[in-house]
Amino acid sequence: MTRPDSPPIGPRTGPELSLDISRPYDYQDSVKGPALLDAMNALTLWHSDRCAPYAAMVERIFPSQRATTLARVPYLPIRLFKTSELRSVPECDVIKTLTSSGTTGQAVSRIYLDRETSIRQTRVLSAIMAAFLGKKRWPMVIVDSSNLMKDRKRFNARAAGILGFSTYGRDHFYCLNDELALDVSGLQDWLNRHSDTPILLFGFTFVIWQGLYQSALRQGIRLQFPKGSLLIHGGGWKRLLDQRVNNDEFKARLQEQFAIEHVHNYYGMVEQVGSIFMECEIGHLHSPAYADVIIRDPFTLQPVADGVAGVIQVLSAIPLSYPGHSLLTEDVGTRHGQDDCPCGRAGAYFSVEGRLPQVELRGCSDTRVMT
Amino acid sequence: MSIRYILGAESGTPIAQVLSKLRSQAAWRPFDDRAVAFVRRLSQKLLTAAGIRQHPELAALAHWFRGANLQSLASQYVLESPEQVKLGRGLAFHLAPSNVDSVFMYSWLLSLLAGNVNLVRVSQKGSAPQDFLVAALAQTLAEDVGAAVRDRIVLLTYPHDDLLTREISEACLIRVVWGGDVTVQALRNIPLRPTAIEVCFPDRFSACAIRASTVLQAEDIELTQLAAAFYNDAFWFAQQACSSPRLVAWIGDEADIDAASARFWSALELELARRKPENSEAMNMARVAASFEYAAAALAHPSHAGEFKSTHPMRLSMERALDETAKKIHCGNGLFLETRLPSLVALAPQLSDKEQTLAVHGFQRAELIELALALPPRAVDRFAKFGEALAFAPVWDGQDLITTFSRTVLLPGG
Repeated sequence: MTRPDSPPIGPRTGPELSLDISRPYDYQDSVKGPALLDAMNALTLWHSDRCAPYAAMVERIFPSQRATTLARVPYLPIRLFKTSELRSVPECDVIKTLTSSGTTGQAVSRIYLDRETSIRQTRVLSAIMAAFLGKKRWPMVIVDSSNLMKDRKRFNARAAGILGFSTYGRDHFYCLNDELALDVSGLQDWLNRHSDTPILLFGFTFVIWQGLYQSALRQGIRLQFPKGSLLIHGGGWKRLLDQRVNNDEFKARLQEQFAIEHVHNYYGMVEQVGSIFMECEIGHLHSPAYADVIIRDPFTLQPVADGVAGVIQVLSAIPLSYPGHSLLTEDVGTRHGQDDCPCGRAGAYFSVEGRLPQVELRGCSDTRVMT
Repeated sequence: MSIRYILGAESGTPIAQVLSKLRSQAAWRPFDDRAVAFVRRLSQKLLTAAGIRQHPELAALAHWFRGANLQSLASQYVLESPEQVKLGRGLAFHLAPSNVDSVFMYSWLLSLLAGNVNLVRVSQKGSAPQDFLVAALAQTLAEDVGAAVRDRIVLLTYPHDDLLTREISEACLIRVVWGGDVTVQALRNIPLRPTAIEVCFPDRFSACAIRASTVLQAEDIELTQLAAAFYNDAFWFAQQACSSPRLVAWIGDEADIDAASARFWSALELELARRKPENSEAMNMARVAASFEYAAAALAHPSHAGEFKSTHPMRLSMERALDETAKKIHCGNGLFLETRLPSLVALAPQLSDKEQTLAVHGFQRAELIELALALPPRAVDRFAKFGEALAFAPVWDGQDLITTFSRTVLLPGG
């Protein structure tokens, strides 16, 4: 099988999920399953026709033609975005390149977005947010420094996340200063002006913990957010778990210090912006209609039963400009069930336990002296 | 000050003072009795230390530096003749890789035996084997046998600091760098004294070659031994030593190779079941990701046909000649690239200066020489028997370390 090096000029509209985008949590598996499988198969073909390295990989690793179940949809280990340039649109159509906020010295993921993919991300995220917030825009506190947004050259996952979520609020206030410490008087003034309506807060989990909670604790500040205020946070637990702070503790402390009534974590990644997995009132992460999770045994990579922890594979019907519709992450999680969460949302629900440890380098020379 | 002295200097001592003290020490002759006695004692100390079983690589190191071996090593060199006398070079600055590796420890103990004064920068990270070795070193230095070498060894660590590295580099007469290619390049930018030399041990890639017909002709017991030998080469250090074979070149005709590889890999399965090598989730994910990378680059595909299976070991069949990319993607951890060739010499064009060890099975000496003569410049520093790929030799990466670490002073003749 030979494929052209450059993507052919094909239809400009990519495969779409045949479900109402505005109802992310309404479809039972009997409806969602077949629809998502069709979308996944169409996306595998779409990217195979447009991204030569992806096609080469599918051809070699997943030789059977069409997946008959979601578990058989070809997947890509997420770290391949760090090592290979994976793009399904011509370079001139790329409007934004997202990079993961990798720690210094490590390779970063590069995710290429075109207009259509970017629009799809926004649509799906809007539907998910509307399911939690309603259609009205809330006054919004962003738990970060406004400085982060100024350097557009280093537009990393954190800045992209903030920009994406900030459209669901109004009268934005960035409550941390450049040193990521709480701007107490600024926040107090702003709260005084928004005392009668619930506030939306957004930020990255460890930034909220350090910049908002610990900063307030250190300064001896207790603040009262209006009733019904809601905090959305994501970005991973690694740094908090290092300090032995889990989700329950995180919620309890934020409620105690700021009277924030609702705290929702989300699981998402720069490789699949838009179709995020929001935590419900019960504490479960939920697959929206546009996405799904499959948990695999970390050794055999075969799917495991509900209740068994394994490596998380994430599916999303969004990505058109890069082959990211089915990704094997390096996160560990457990699927608890499907369509029967007491919160009433349909779809698979799960929890994330953390990250797989990285391999240890220990050759005589493949590690670096100077770092 | 960011320097942490581990051995040989009081905390807080300015580096200039440490360097000046080290430089005031005379170079000894190679295999000076004082150095030999110290190394021999260190070897005994390690071998009898409680807990040495947890560090087989240190036990191997200690065994290698045992007295009898030191004697036979010394006898291989002409240390003095009517025309010449050998001397150490002076102060040697050793930079260790992040994870202390036994091969690195061999090199600086050889530098000590060669007559040098040694300043060793170990990784900031530290490790159990490193602590174990440092404890044994400290004890040996504290004994009578350590008195003479006490002023000739400094072990330290410091975070990335070009100025400090520069200061030490300006003082030393040999710089020995173990590190990735990036590290080696970075250090090349830090000048040495005009009279100093540098010895680098950068990233290397290793392979093995098997004649298919010898596997087919082997008795079961020989096959088991071959699998055990391959296990030692490839599964120790999670296939991450520079000598660990990562490419398996099958030599013979297609039918022979089909049958031989089936036989060989089944024998290895039995060996793996018996010896249960380390295999973590992370190692598995690293193998899987590398397999996908090879596939994405159209370099290799899983040797096992049909549905993708994540296995240990993971075998991939090369679709193209081994190149830089193929070597770069390889992560160790039990991943084998397989290639098929009609003759051993046909492997030559696929090798480069990146290649260090070629473990060989089933070839005549004449075939090895034929390959050696066909090799690109600097490719392959050693051919080893299966099972001996990781064995240390004082000739490493193509250089005789005792000779490199010392100098020859000519005398006016007899």
